[in-house]
Amino acid sequence: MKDKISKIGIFIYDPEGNLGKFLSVEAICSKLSGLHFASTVSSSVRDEGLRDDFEEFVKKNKLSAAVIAGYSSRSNEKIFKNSFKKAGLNPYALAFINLGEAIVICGKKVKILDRAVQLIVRAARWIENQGPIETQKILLNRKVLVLGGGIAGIETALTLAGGGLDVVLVEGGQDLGGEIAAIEGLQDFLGDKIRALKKEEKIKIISSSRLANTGGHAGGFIVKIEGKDESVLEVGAIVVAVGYESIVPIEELGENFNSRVIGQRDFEKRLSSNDVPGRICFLTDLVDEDLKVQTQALLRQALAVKKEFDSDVICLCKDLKVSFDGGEELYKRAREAGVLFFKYVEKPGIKVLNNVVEVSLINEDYPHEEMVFEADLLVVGEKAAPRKGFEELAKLLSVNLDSNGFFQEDNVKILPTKSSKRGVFFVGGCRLPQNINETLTEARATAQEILSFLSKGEIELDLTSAKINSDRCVLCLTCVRTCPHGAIVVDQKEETAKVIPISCQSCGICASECPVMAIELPLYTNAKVMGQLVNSMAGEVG
Amino acid sequence: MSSRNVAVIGGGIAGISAAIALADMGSLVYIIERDTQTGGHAAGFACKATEKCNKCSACVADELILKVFQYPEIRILTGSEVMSFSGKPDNFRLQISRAAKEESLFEEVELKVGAMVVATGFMPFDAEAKKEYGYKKYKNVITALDLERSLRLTGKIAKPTDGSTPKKIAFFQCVGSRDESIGKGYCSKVCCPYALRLSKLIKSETPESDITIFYMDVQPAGKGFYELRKSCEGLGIRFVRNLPSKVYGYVNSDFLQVKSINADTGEVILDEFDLIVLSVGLSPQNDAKFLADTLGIDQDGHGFYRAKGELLNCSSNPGIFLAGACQGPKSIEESMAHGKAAAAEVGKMLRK
Repeated sequence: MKDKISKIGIFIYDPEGNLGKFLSVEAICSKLSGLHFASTVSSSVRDEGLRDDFEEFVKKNKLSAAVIAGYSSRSNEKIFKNSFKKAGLNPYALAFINLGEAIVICGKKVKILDRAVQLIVRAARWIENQGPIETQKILLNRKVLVLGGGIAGIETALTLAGGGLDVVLVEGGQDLGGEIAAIEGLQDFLGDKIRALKKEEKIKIISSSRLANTGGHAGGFIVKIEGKDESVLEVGAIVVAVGYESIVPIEELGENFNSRVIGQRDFEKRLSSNDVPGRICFLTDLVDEDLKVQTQALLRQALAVKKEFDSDVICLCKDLKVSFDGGEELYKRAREAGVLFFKYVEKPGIKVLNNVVEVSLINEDYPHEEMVFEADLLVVGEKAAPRKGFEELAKLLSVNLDSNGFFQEDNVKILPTKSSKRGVFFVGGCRLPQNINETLTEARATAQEILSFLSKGEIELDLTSAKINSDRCVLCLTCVRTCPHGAIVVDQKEETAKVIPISCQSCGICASECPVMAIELPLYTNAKVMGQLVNSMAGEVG
Repeated sequence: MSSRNVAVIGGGIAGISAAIALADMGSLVYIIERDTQTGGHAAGFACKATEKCNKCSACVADELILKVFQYPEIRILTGSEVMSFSGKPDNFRLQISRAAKEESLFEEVELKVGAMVVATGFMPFDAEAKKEYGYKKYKNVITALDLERSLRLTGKIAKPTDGSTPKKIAFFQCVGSRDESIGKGYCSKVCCPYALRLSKLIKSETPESDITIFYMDVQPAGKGFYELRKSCEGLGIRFVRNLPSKVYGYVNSDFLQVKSINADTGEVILDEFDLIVLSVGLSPQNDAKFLADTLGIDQDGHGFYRAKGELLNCSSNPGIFLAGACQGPKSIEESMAHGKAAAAEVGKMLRK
């Protein structure tokens, strides 16, 4: 049902008076023959002034549609839309045009005027084709499921609880703490966090359990937790913080991997049990990766060894990755303490003879001499690897893994921890192993994002999401497969595919892929797009 | 009565991210920005996409600025600076000096807020301080920031002397970072990624250009960075682990010679370049101390605002929180995350 719009408001927004230099409203209006309209110019600077001007204009002229024309009219879109909503009008019967474009592209005054008129007329015709968009109120569950009891999961849970949401934290193992539990010097910090976690009434901890099944959508996921007990919960959001595996790159070491060659984590244990020999060689960057956690561990351990045991310490690496808080200082302190650093290009040769490790490398600096070091212990930088269950978990949540097998964020530029599926987030090492400060920041930022989303407990959605015509749908599942947001499900009873409005991002991929043309986006139906095309051609062709 | 209003000092990426998150949680937010517009440095960066997006995040600034205007709960006070400050958490009073409509006049505004977020960002390192590189003396020695701006405005790279396209380009890394001699004993984190992205963009647009990156260590930045480096090497960009010691040139001439060491022979070499891009690091704001004294917050040894232990958003003064590069060098996405994290901390405090 389309309501024909009787009168269109033309609201020209010119706070700095720039448009006025090029265009006069009277001149525009005199050219708008055949259009039933009312017009006004507002020079109020944003917020209340602009809103009041607009509301008065709408009320006085009994408008139900308006064209907003200004330099950057989109920037105040929300203000205009809210005013329309408040007055019970259709907020999609608003068109925004940029008169600045007319001014920049044209140049001579008369042409600017023609272009401005053309833009306004087209926008007005476009509105006439816009029917109202339905809205739907969706209740949001104020409980969050956090998977993983490492520092990323703990910090996310604490921040969420601090913001007033309930949290269920599911840990696969027995103990909380994850990767950093093994690091000396962070144990007090971790202990405090775990105590705070256990004290917090809003957080429920379920250990030795895992996610077995999920259904539903953002704001109302139904999740099944399996372990000692089985439980089914409804949660509003899911945070994946399942960490990563830190492994010694054995394949790079070949046959030389024996008790004299150990990984950084094993060395951490030796450090805490004071089992440190007199000559130690650290070797990192055997596998090229995006990470700096290896270098950070190297610097921390090398410094500790030098300071506490005064061993001879030699570090071999490709690049010293110090781009973390305090990294350069740590490097400087290590050098000052007497730790030696050499950089290599070609992989060093490793031999183990009579319990002595012999490492030979070509020094990168001139004169590129071969250097040979003997050490009692070779500590090898560990590479990050995805955990075993990642694929299964990704499938359960219908999210993607990247080429290395870690969880793939949707768009690094918006919030790196958002997944392609609304309401599912990745925090910490399962997406990208980072140092503790970065992980903590990420955890808090993600928690804040979830707080912003769930705190109100309900959301009013404009149903601009894709719509499937169930009469035409033949259940070929093309849309289910192509949807990058996991927003389409199969309704067995009705024998049709169905879009979950809250998960849909209105990208239109399903609409363009559907072989029987059963899917349309309400704002861009075929009829509307055709109408727009015809409109824009009218001036030029006729 | 405690106030749920929050003042955010600085309208860059971090400040805007914090403000939006706070507004989402129902706070009335004042952004105090001393420039005439919001967006900070990032608003002047250029998109560095080649055949595909290189994830430089420059477009995010534009989107965020548009977004912040859509929040009626966020009041943006441009041309404003904090003059004085008093009170306790939940009940701060801020005196703001704000440029009035008529130029050269200032009006005093008083704000009552429950908490404050300091997001004053950074200053690009003043490359003139590295005299041996001849910035400002030789016109064809520019900073990466100059290059960003010219790419954003004109879409192309040109020699400042005659506007022609440079053939041989050098990037100098660590200008104002990891350099004890000028008191910058920290890594600025962002220069390696931006230099790689810029050089990849130039090389993709003009494949005949010859690009050399002089570096100390290439610092990784986020996911996919190793692939970015590989793709730069694949395009034929030269990586030389060696920071040049001097640039020779003539004022008002486009002749530039770079003194460095040939890594293969150990000889000192002089090489000519058409354009030298200095990858300048991030320094604290010039007047960081003034604000630190006004608000009673600590600075670290480099002049950035000190965060309390693992509470990366808490300053030394309760109720005042830190967001973005004013706490230490940060990329755009890190600043956004830090801003949101600051909002979470503010929310926690105000809810108590």
